[in-house]
Amino acid sequence: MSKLFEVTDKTLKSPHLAVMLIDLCLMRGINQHKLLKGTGLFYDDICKGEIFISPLQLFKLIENSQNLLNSHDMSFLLGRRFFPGNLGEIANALINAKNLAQMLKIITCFQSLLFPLNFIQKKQYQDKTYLIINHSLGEFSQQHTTFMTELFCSILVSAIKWRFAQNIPLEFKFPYAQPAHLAEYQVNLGDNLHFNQHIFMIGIENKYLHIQLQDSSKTLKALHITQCKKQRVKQTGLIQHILIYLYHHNNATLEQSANYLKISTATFKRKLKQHNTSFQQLLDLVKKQKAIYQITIEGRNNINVSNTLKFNDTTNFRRAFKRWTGMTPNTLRQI
Amino acid sequence: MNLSLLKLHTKTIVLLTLFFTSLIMYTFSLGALKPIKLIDWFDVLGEGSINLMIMVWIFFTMISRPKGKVTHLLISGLAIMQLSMMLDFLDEFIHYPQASAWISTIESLPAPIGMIMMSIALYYWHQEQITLNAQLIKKERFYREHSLSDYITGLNSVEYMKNQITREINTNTEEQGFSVIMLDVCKFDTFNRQFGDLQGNKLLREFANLILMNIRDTDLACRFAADRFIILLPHTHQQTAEEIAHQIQASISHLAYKPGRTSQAVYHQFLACIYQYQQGDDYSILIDKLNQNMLQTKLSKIKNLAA
Repeated sequence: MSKLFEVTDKTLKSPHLAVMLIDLCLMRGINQHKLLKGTGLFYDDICKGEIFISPLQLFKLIENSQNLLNSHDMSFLLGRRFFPGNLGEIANALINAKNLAQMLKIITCFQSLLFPLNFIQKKQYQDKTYLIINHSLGEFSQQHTTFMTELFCSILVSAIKWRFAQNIPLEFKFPYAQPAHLAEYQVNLGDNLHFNQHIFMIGIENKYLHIQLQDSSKTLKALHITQCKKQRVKQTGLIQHILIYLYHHNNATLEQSANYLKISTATFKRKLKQHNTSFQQLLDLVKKQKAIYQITIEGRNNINVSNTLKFNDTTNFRRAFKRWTGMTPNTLRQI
Repeated sequence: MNLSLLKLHTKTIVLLTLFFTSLIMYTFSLGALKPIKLIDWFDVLGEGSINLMIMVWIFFTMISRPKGKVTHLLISGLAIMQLSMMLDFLDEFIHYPQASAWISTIESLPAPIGMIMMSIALYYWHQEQITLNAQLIKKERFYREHSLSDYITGLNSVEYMKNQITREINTNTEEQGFSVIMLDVCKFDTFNRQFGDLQGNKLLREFANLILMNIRDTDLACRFAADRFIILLPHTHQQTAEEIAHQIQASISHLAYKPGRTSQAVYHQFLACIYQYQQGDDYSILIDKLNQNMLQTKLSKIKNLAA
């Protein structure tokens, strides 16, 4: 059984990300006190290390840095610096993966060590592999969503660049509209970018997954993975936990989900509110993402999709889809 | 607010404080306090706020400018104006005996002197600005917007370039259009990993300076994003643009950058892509074409290395 964590839990040990962010901001002449204002963090404590911070503290820090800096490249810069850094065992395991397929497998298996705030699902259809990424603790603001999304892309791309020393084309789909700082996306992520997709998804052709890395070691990889497993206390974000449940129980009710978490419905609602979401929103999110994947990637028709999502008829499905995305399934097929 | 320049003016601040405190004490020693009933509160409000605003102006002058002729003139002019205003303000509270009435008579005299000094200061400031503008010529065109400046390189950001390219497209009527160069640093990531971001940022600034040295006065260089730069060349054919790009590349490849205190130099190469504006392009089409071009150039470079 994995341990659940919420936004207010001080669970992020040795907050690598926070430290790097602070470091980058100070380098740009941002005032230390302004940067840490309202986060409850103290510079001296951070320097000593060994502190635990809550995701909420990290989000506040990100918000402060975004408001104080007059540039949008912080998330991309952080991503470039993130890997391999001092991620410890897991970085060593990744370095010794023999190809991208193994790297992706390690990333999805040990995501709580690498990306505690993201929730990654891997899917495969025909000759492409897709990563669908959600926030394991929900979304707090557009600014926050954009930052975390950019950070994730940047980490992935710079890790691939570093290991493969060649361009491996990735396809990016973003849930939000094209941002004003598009140039950062173009330079850092390449030109296969799609916005307003109502889903955060990264696609890669399978043929790239099996390019051999010469300097990898099977034995070392096995060793580091065993050590990762030993030290791992598997942590799952509350929202991620619920999303996984809803993913397998399309028609679950609020009561059933609260039962599953072994808490009362009132507590359940309160916790969801604390994560800036509601039960209906999460249920819609799961169904929406399933529908978008089935329509755009698998090319299924409306009847088929509405059946798998357990809608009574296609009219209902079309109406729901319009409510989720603002467009009909047919419009989505055309763009 | 950045107050780092305030330290340079410590002496002036002490001097001004001393002067105005002694002025207040001196006037009080000459006259007697008016009874409350006789005080005109409208005047107090008006003259008080004038005093306050001049103090604010002095403060902003101090935090915005290092010491120098222009700064001294500005601050002295303001201080002398303040003298007049202060005497006027104190008048409201103090009644002078006949023997000291001269003080009310001369109170308005310093103000015009202060204003003349300020006018001279503004004239010098104008000249100073012209020299500064000359230094900025390749960094900006027609328009100044400090919020679009990039902290690391000192160039303007891509937003500024977007406005300028759009402007160029809209005003482009002649057959000789304009060209755009995009420059990308090879292996900048490797350098950053090896020497750290601080050195990386310094190197980017050096690149920016070198680019500025190699372009013409009419051209405009901006930072695109990360390690990519973009240059707008108005009234320029592809051929000329290519020539200039080669010159920049040559000068970058000769830059023996020394990170930290080592004598070991690190050399860098720029990849360059050139695009000449064609009728019907808009900003995003133009940038897309440059980006795709850059991707192709990178791919072919990797293939060349492998072969």
